[in-house]
Amino acid sequence: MTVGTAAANAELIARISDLELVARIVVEGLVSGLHRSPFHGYSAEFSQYRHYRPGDDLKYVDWKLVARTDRVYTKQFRETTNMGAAIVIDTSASMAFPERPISKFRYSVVAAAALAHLVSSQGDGVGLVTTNAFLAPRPGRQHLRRLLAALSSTAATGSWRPAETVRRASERLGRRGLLLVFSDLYDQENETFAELRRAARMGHEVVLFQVISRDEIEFGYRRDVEFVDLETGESLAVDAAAARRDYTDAVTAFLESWRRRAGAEGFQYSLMVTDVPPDRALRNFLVARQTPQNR
Amino acid sequence: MIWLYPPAAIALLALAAPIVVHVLVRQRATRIAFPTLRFIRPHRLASVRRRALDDIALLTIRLAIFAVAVAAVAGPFVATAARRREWDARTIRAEVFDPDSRYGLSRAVVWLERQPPGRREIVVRGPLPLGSLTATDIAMVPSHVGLRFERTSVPTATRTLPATPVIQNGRIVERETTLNAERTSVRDVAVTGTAAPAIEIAAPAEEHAAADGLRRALLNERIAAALPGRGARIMFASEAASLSTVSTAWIADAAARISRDTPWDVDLAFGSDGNRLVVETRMHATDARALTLVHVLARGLASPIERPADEVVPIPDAQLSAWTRGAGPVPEAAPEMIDRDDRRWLWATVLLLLLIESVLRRDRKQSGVAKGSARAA
Repeated sequence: MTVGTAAANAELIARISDLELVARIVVEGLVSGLHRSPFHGYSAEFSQYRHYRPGDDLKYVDWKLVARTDRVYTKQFRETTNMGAAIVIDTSASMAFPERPISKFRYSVVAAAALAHLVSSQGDGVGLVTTNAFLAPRPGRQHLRRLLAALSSTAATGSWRPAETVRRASERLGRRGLLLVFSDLYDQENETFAELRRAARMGHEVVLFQVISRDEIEFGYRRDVEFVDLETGESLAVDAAAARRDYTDAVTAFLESWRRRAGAEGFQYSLMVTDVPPDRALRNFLVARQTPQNR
Repeated sequence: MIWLYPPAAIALLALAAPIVVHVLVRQRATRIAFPTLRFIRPHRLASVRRRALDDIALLTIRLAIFAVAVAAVAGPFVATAARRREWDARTIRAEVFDPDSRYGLSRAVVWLERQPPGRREIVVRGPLPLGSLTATDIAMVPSHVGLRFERTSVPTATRTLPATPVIQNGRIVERETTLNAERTSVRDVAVTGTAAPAIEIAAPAEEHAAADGLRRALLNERIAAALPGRGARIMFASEAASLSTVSTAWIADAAARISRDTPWDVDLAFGSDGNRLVVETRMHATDARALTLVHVLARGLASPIERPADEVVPIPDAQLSAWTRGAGPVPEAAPEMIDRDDRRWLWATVLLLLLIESVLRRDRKQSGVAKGSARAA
């Protein structure tokens, strides 16, 4: 088996228990073809311009360029100092869906591990925040191993508490850092959004991965089905075929709402569907991140 | 109520078909854990939707249409009091003119059973000679059927008829019978020819002498002559009973008359051998009754003289009066008696229900369209 084929198979990745190996496989698959580090911090080494976003420090505005173009650009610098990145994973019970071939939670863990590996390999610090685990952002291989071990031991149970997780992550990032959030965003919508906005206001770059399965998008059930809510235990029996159209309309509106709200607030939003191999999903995310409009 | 075609009611079982289908298609909803129920709108289960009665009125009307149609096919008939009075008021009469009154009487009974409900009476008209009707014939007429006898003529005082020829001394002797009440007589009228023995007698070797005696008796002792073309074989002291089946009408008739006329309880087995009657018996040819048995066998092959219509003595008037009776009450009507049932009313009801059903259906359709328009708006 080659690394490439393993990386292209989400089901296979779900079966590998060694998260470090998984992270390496995914990263090796996704960094080939990317020319340089996709994560940018603020440093003395100029990297590129990007459009000004509300919250950007005005001292990085290139006023000469403003005078020439009548447009506000912010100077971006290649990271030369350690950048802090915090990974927040939704560990609510709804993330345990679907059981096969890979749950949203497992998919998030794999993607988060790959990103942690990537960030750590650049010499930057990376941390982890879940409802039951906290690791402050730190660089180094030993810390990465602790983080991967913490990721491995985390399970999707209970409920999503953004006030504890997102806020804690954004506060512990200290200076401007990178906040990577993995969630299906079903619960505590407004509170989650408020915390993400607050993190952005603090100067952190917010990357929002909305992880969802194909079954949740297409609702490919037939006949009579009794759906049991993974978090509340409530159940609802419906004729799935009859309920499909209303369901897909509502889910489409829900996803579009998050995409629109994230864009409006300057978050980088990425929809991850669990039947797409994680390396491909991350690669798409990183390629999109490197395009000028996203810088 | 009488049903002319009760088996049609089996079609009513079809009314249970919807229930059976609902029971068979009942299914349990699959239980699936799902991240959130927030996007799932309540929809009635398919199985519940199939089981639920959306429109009880429409269903009831349709079931009623089917049930009434089945009832109409089954041919209902209600025996009301008015109809019973009408039946009591009419008399259905069968008149028998047949010179063979016995046969005519039985045909009249069969015919009356198929007539519409009403009092029933049989009138027998004819000379009514002795033997044309017996107490057995009268007993076969149902008790509710009235009986009357009208003698239309007096039987002829004397009548001369041919009698069964006999064989005597190897010759056929023609005879005639003169019917004249107590002076009835039979006499020989001519000797027409040489008689060939029509009965073959078989017996074991030790009984050959007795068998020869019987053969001689057949030709000499005025035994009835067989009709042309008829013959028989009798096997004395026979144990085997592997006879072929009788399929010729005259052989069966002869066997029946031989059984009837044999004066003792003796075992006789009948069969046929081509166009010949075969009789087997355990009786020995040496038995004293053997000659009588041969006589019976010969009479069985001869033409029977059973012509009651030729009788010259009438049935006594006292006897006819004793047999006479009035028509009894109308019996419970049997389906085959009903000439006009009540199904037309049921078909009219079916048409009425169909009309109501179409109105209801149109109404539901219009209300459905209105709901759809409102939803679209």
